[in-house]
Amino acid sequence: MHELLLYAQTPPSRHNQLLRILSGIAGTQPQRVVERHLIFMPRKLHDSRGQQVGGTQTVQNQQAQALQGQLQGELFHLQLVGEIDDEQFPNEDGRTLEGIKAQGDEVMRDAGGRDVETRAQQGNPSPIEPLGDAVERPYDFDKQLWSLRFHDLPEVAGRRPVTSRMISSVDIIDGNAIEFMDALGYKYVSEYVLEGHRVIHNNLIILLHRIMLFPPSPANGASISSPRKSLPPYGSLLPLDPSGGYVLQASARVQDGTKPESINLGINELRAFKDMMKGVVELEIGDRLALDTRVK
Amino acid sequence: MDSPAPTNTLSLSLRAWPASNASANSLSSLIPRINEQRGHFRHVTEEGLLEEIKAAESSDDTTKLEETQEEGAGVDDTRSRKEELLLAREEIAKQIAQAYMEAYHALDFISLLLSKETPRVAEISLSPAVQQLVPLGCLGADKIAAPQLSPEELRGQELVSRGWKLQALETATESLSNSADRLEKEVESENRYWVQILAVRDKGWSVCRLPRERHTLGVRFGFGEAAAEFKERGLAALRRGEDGKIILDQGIASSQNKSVRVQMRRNGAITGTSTIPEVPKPEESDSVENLILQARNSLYEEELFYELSREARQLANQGVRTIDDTIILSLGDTAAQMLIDLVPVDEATGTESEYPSSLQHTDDDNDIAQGIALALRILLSYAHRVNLKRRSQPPPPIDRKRPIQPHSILHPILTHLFHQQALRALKSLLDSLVGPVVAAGLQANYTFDTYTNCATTSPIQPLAMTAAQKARSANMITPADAVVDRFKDRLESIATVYFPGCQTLTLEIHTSLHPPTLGTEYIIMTKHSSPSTAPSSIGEETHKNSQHQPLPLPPPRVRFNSVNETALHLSWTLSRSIVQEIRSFTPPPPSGPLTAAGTTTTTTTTTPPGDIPGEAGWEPLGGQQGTTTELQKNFPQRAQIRRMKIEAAPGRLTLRWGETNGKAGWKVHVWEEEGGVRGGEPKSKLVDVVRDAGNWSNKAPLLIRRHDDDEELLSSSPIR
Repeated sequence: MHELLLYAQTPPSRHNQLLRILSGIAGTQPQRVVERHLIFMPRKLHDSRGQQVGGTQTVQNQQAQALQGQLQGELFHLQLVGEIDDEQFPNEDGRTLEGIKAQGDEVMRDAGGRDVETRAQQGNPSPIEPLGDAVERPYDFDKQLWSLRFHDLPEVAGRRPVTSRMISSVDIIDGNAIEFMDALGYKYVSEYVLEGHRVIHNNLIILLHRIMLFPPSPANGASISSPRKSLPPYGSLLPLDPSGGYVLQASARVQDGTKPESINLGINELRAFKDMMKGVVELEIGDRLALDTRVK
Repeated sequence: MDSPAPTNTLSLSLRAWPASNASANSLSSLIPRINEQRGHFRHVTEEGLLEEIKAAESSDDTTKLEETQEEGAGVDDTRSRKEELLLAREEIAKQIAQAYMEAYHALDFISLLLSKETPRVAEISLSPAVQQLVPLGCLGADKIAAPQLSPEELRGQELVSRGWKLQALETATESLSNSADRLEKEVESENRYWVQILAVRDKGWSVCRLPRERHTLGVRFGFGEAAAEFKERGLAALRRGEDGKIILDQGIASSQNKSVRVQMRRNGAITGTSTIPEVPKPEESDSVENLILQARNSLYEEELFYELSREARQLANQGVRTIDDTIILSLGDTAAQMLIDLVPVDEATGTESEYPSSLQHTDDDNDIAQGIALALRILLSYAHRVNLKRRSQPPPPIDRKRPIQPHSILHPILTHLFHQQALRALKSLLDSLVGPVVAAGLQANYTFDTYTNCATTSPIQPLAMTAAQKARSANMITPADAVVDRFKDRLESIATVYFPGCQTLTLEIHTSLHPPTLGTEYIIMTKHSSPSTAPSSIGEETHKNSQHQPLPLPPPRVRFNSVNETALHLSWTLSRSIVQEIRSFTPPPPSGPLTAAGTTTTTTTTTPPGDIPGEAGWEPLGGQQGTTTELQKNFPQRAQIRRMKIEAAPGRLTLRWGETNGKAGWKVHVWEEEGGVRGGEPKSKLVDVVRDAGNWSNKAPLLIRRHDDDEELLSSSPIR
């Protein structure tokens, strides 16, 4: 699967306005997205040199060559991504859950002061649905569902007016994902929380988000070797960008990256979106090296 | 020449000084010039002018100084100066030639004029070129006296001019007052227009500018999730009419209001019609609010019909036809049809009274048609919601283009109709099976549990769905959606049938039109409340035949696709269960191997001597317990065997019995639904007939009885 991307940045003061514009363009309500990203890297880097050193005349068979190629190839970080709910964050002294909710609801308060559907309604279970499903329990790490994601290094810019990269996403629907990563030879590096809103516009997934970091644990600020089992209060999360700015990411996913017609469809949609947003935000190609996922 | 001369150009004028023009210095020309140059007189003050003069003098000094300075610089530049002189000379020559030409032309003109009077003198001064072109004396001059006007005429002219002036003034006042009136009216109508616009806005309609005409207001009344062509039509311009009334301009779309009409047709006659919304009264239709509402309703109806037509094309395999802009649904084998068409609102209400067949309308059919019409609208609204839901979900990766499936509106309706039909057919089948059995004095009945899957929710959640996603999806399902959801996909009903012989059958009826299109399925599960005596069904043979208790296996499921097949199976099961019932009338004699229930072999040799009187002693033919519909009874003392055959069919239960001695025919008893009994004593019970047949004293008939109306000619040969 290929992903085509454009990025823009917006200060927190413009967040609500931008979100309203986006939802107007798409004709749908924005959806709240809170994701927990765990980052993993290969535990042991391979030797930089292959086994065969020196001038050997033996002809390698194809399989061995392919394996060699893989061994010599780059190593990449992997991510486990799990969706969480706002309600799963524990309460904090002085700042209740309702407070957080109310703050979130301001996001989509229209001019007349009426609440447009946001998280407030998500709390209301539909009368048909059993109550237990909508009202959230405290966060349970063991019950969190993960999906395993791989993002390749973006292609060299210039050929296309958008960032394009290979991605792969696999939903892990059963079993212990953390142990699986361990067995795969990957070790936990760090984690962050992505929070924001998602708007769907035709084939585009528009994500207005920011990256939040966990507060440094008081016990040992040094390396933590495993992901946290519990979530800190929402208010204690620190934005990665200290100014609190948001990132607007417009992406189109293409099933087959070798098909030019599919790719062009995605590019054209992104380009049209970029033109439409001209004057609101300037969408640009992402920095290739900033999106680098290779292990150095 | 007060401006300083440019340094390297020749400041030499060879033209004559302009003659001092008397008019140039006249006061009338001076004042505008001063105005032009200095502005208004009040800005011109004495001090200012003095200063100016001073400044001019000082600047003159400086320029003179510059000139003297620059002359020194310009001396050595003699070469370019020479060239300039040459150019100036050329210029002078040109000017002189021009003057000469002009003088010559003037001379020619005068000479030509004089040539009329004194041709000979004039000829001398006339140029030869003119002489060639024009004949002499062709130009003349005369003195004309100005007309003398009488004082009356002068006065008349004055009066006329005054009259004209007055008239002009009058028209001017008139046009001014006219435009004042017009402006007043304009303001009034503009006011009315804006009040109406505000009223529309206050009612909650979204008023916006038209994308193509930025100066016109429009109102959006369409549906956001409609198909593209209808989505665009959901925006109409609010134009201002003559008197400020709003005109709803829907562009090229017809402003005629239309509505979807559902009609029931039975045997070619319309027997039911859904109600068409009434045409609003003229005084009501005036308000913009009403106009918008009508436009919206009409748009919705048109979209509904469009989607229905699209779907109907895909449902040709289900007997849906589109003929003459009418969608025709054939309701099974009956002559009933459902017609769906789009009719203009006013026309429909007009024609209804004209319908001669409107007398044939029945309340039932009207209700059905109305119900279907309502369901169609609800389903389109539901489809809109589904569309919004789909649009809000992250799209699948871009791949080849997928065709957009039409909304599912007719599907659920057809599913319902087919399911109802199946239920009706099954009900009548069960009635016709149970009726004769009850008439024969046996126990049988059935219960119906309809639409079992609609009674409970069965939300099918995707496998991997986080709590957050679940909450979100639950959030998107409104109660209205949930209601429709239950009726949408597959319909299930359950009938429980109790046959004699303690046999219970569970019939599941499933109807689904979604691919794979299986139509209606009948699934029959057999349960025995007393397994030891129960007849086995197909596929049960193996474990039934063993001596052990049957394992608690789930009841076997047998699937059928039509009610006829189901009827055959049920008839057969009923026949067998009656056989079982006859066997259980009295237990077999206490001795002998027959005591064990479920014995596989029954031979006449093992029968103990002595006839068993009455209804007891009948054994399944050939020992095939549970699968046969024939019984036999041994009369060892008379070395005779009597046989009995049970045939259950919809509407009829037949019992035949006879002897196998080669000369007997059948004696036939038939029980029918109404309880009438033919071929036997009236109102006789099955037990009595069996008892009669079991007593040797009752002779088997020697003649072959033929049924009067009937199905089958009994064979004249003895029973096999």
